[in-house]
Amino acid sequence: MGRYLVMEIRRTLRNVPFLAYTICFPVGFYLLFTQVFGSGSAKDWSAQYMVSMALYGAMGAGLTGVSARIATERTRGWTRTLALTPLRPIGYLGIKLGASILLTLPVILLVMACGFVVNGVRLPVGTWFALVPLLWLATIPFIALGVAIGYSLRDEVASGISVALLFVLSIGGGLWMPVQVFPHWLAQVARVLPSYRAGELSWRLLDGQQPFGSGALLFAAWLVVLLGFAGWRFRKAS
Amino acid sequence: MTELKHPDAVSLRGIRKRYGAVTAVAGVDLTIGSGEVVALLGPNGAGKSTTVDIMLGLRAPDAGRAELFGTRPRAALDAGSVGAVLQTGELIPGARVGELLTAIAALQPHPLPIGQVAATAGVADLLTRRTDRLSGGQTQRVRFALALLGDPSLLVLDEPTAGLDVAARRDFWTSVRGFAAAGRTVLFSTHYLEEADETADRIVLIDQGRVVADGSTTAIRAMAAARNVRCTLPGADPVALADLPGAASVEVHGDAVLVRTTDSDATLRALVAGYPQARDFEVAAAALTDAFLALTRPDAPAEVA
Repeated sequence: MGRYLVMEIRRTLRNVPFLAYTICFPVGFYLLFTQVFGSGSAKDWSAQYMVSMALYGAMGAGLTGVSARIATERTRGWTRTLALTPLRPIGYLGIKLGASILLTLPVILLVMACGFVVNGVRLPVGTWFALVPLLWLATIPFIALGVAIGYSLRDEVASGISVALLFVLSIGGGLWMPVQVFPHWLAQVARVLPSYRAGELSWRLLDGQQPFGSGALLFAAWLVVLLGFAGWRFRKAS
Repeated sequence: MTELKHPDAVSLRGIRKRYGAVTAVAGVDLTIGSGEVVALLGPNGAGKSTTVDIMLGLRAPDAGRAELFGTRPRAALDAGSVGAVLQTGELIPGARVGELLTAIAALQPHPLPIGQVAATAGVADLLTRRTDRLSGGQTQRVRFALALLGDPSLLVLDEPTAGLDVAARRDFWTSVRGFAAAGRTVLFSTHYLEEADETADRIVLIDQGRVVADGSTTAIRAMAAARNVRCTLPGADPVALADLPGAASVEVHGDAVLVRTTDSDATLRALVAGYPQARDFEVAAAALTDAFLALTRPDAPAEVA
């Protein structure tokens, strides 16, 4: 399965439109909104928006990436070929999850590198290192959502739905613009979304708090619900 | 090749499968011994693909039992004893062919070396190519290579040359014959009589979900090489006419007699000698498609020795 995982990652890294879409957008938005529109903006805004865009990028790579790969391979019959090998559906799912987690790393690291190099974001060394696993954890519910979509829908539909969900969740959850500038009613909605609660883990860390506050309970609930949803769709399909 | 004690590579017993109101497989019994090269021949929609899917454990039959080497299909696939090229299924996009072969070989319990498989399947010059940039024939050879990676004792091919041009088909069958020459078992489905004739030792004719004829390729070819002898014969007795030398089937409509024969000379001589009142003789080659249809017509099951 290790070899298959390596192939899965390498073939995804060859997918130029996917990379452009998942890396260029978050990096570009980050630089645009901190350098161009927010020139001279506060360092804490640069740091906060850095983790927001890193999470948005990781969500994109995770949610849209995994749903498209699973849906395409199921729709076009590659999974039938795999069914003739000793690889079990659960092993296939394990490979997809492992590859999806690892494939969020490039965009997370690039956005953070932009923060450090371009915007001069300076954080304690421990915080930098804590951000990566925290952002990974924050991405898992969206990868689970992508898995559920991939096992439920045909390829084009799955891509469309996951892109739409990515935008609704990332904008609605205050990753593009902070919820502080949202109208009251929208901020109320945002606080219920998994994307806001996922971002909150990192934002709290930047504020010098420990990441898991009361909002982490809502995050954990979303995590359990979406993992359950993914598991149900997976069992239903295989 | 794994040493499997069980002599039968494939054993299907009373397989039935319905999709809603449509009966795809209506009771198929089939045993294939180790080392046989068997063609599953039938028109589109005959139930070949469903039979193959059930044989490989990809679909559950409504009734009946499928075994490969005396075990469940899943267990045989896990043991690497079975390789298959299915009718549908694109390659995973974006991978290099060599990478893909390495990844799939790593899943198999006793894989063959990639180089050997690549040479057998004719993909040695494609290893650095991307799977989404191959021609139809190249894709099919890669799929064949994937089926060989586990070093299978049984190879199952479901219409493997559908959509390929003549040259690609010829190359493909050359590779399959190379595999079979090592004493391994091959089962392939096709609707081309020529492919069955050139590659198989045994042909199983399937139509409307049933096995309608099962015999050596020579016997089936003789059926396919049939000629039609027609004449006018008042008061013809179909039972007596069926005893004519070479006669495979007899049709009588009023005075008109049609004898389908595998030896038109002998049939004609006996007819002239035995029935002086017969007239208006006509001998014509039965078209391959006619013979094929005669064999696969459900109301006229052919007995082939």
